[in-house]
Amino acid sequence: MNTNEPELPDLMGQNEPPDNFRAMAMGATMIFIIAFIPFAVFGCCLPQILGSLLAIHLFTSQYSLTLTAGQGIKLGILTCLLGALSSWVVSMGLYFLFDYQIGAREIEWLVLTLVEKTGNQEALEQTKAEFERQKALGLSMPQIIMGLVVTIVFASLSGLIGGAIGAKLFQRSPNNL
Amino acid sequence: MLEMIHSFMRESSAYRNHLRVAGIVLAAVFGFLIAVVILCATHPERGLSVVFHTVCHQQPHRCHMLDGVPLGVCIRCFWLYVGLFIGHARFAIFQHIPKWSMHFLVFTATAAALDWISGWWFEGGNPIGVRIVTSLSLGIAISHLTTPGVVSCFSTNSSVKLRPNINHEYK
Repeated sequence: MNTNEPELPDLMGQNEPPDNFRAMAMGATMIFIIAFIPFAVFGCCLPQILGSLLAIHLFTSQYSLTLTAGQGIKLGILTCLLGALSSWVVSMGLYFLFDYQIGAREIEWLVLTLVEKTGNQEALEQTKAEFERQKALGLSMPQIIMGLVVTIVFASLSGLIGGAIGAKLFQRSPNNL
Repeated sequence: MLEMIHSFMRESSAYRNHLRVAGIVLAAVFGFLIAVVILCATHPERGLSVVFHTVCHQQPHRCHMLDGVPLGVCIRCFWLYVGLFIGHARFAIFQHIPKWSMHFLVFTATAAALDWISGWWFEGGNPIGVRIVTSLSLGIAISHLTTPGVVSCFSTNSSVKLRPNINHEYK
């Protein structure tokens, strides 16, 4: 037995691994809330990365732990999936019940204003045509299924990136990979 | 002792092989995404741009154009994907992870954030070249962390585990 290695104390007085659900739920809540801010789409996948960073920060600070990159990635992906899927379900519910797409009007107004300011009439016409095209397309069943798949894929990729960065960023002890 | 094991793992050929495989798999994922993004412009009748509707604003005046049709994502997102593809694909040939990877990430993320903020601040956005360079470098910087992370996800013989901070008072 290696006597140089200090014996690790039990976490929270138990042999069970620490519970990461609370941190995960906090990160997912952040993703969920940001998803309903009208202009959040301009942040692309940034809210999901920030959500996974928050989850890792809360988890590592609560238990004074250092996560490996792999553990960070797992936590990040689960956080992003929880937040993104819950917001997707609610937004689909709003669309079918009230025919309301979150932030659609606000984004259209902002983008058209910004493009108009550039004085580029061609770009303005293109943007208007793109909005009209998207409205005309509406939502069909294949698009809804595709939306679900895309939500899962991009949540996983965002969780991968956020988890890898978070594990490296929030190291609470010299242990690392 | 633990540090010695990690050091050995980093240098071992098995670890380098794992990095190579993870890099190739992730490069394939982002290469597929880039292909779909380009298909949005080459085959607009297929309606593939819907795929990226939730992850990018897709405004035509901020997208690359192919024969007058915008790509599936904006310039910044597109070059971020390209950066992630190049950053992961290089593990197929060269598996060294630089010690300054975190500093590089902080630097590129700061540059990208400044570019993103100033892009909305000024009319017409920043020059396209600035957007390309900041996004491409950010993608490469991220790949330095994600590839070893994926290896550690699937590594069964890793000695790394959840470990409390023995240097601080226990909460």
